[in-house]
Amino acid sequence: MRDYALYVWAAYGISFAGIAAAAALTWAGLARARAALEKLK
Amino acid sequence: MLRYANPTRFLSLSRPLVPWLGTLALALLAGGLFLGLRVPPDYQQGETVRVMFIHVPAAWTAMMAYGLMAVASLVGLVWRHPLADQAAKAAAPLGALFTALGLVTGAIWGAPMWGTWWVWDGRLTSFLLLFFLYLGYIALWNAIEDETRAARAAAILALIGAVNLPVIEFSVDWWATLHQGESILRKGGPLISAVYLWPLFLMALGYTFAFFTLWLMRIETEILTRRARSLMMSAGEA
Repeated sequence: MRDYALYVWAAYGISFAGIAAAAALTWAGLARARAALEKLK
Repeated sequence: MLRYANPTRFLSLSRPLVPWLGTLALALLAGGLFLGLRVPPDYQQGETVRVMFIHVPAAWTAMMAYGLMAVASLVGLVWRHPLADQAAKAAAPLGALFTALGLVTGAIWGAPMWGTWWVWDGRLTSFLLLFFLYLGYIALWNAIEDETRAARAAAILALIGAVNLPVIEFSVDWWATLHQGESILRKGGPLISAVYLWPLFLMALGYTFAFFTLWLMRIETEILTRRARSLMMSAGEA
């Protein structure tokens, strides 16, 4: 893993951080929408 | 199919599906990661072959997301069903994310292998255009206040932009590109060794299931937000 290790880890880090951030934002958005609707009912 | 165009029916199906799809996505991504980091280095690409296991699935998912967005837009335009518009709207940010990941991981692979982060060749340029189409689509939804008009304008943009999908796919055949030609889904079988196909296959499935999990969650968010808006409007009128 010595050759180009930085490139490989950067690519994996960015990809999984991106997907994890999207999952967190999606989950937060859904929780917010559910709470807002519940409040209005 | 149209049975599930009713938001309540759609939610009764999607809500129980989400945890299963999410778990499957995590398991597939973990399996793909495990295999992808354990395969031997390629004789030409060395360790950077591992970048392929995340670059190719990101690019495939980005194109699949656009295809789904275009189909949902067409359904929304023809049948004027709000759920189709919401499905298209919900797919756009996810598609933009996977496109960005495809571009960034491609550049990271290109730097050591091609000696450059970027070239204006047919594949890379058409894929960058896909990213701008997603951004334009999202911007259009946010720029028009009336939701029906916004949905219609965004749907037309999505359908026009769908022309770019075959351009991306066949760009490596139509033009002399630095990007390599089709090496996986081709007549005569893949050019890649099976040892590299497995992590790629698992990651591709993992990315696909991750997309569908997040897409269903985002559609639910859109449905609930719309309901909350209707309740607020009817409360305001009363």
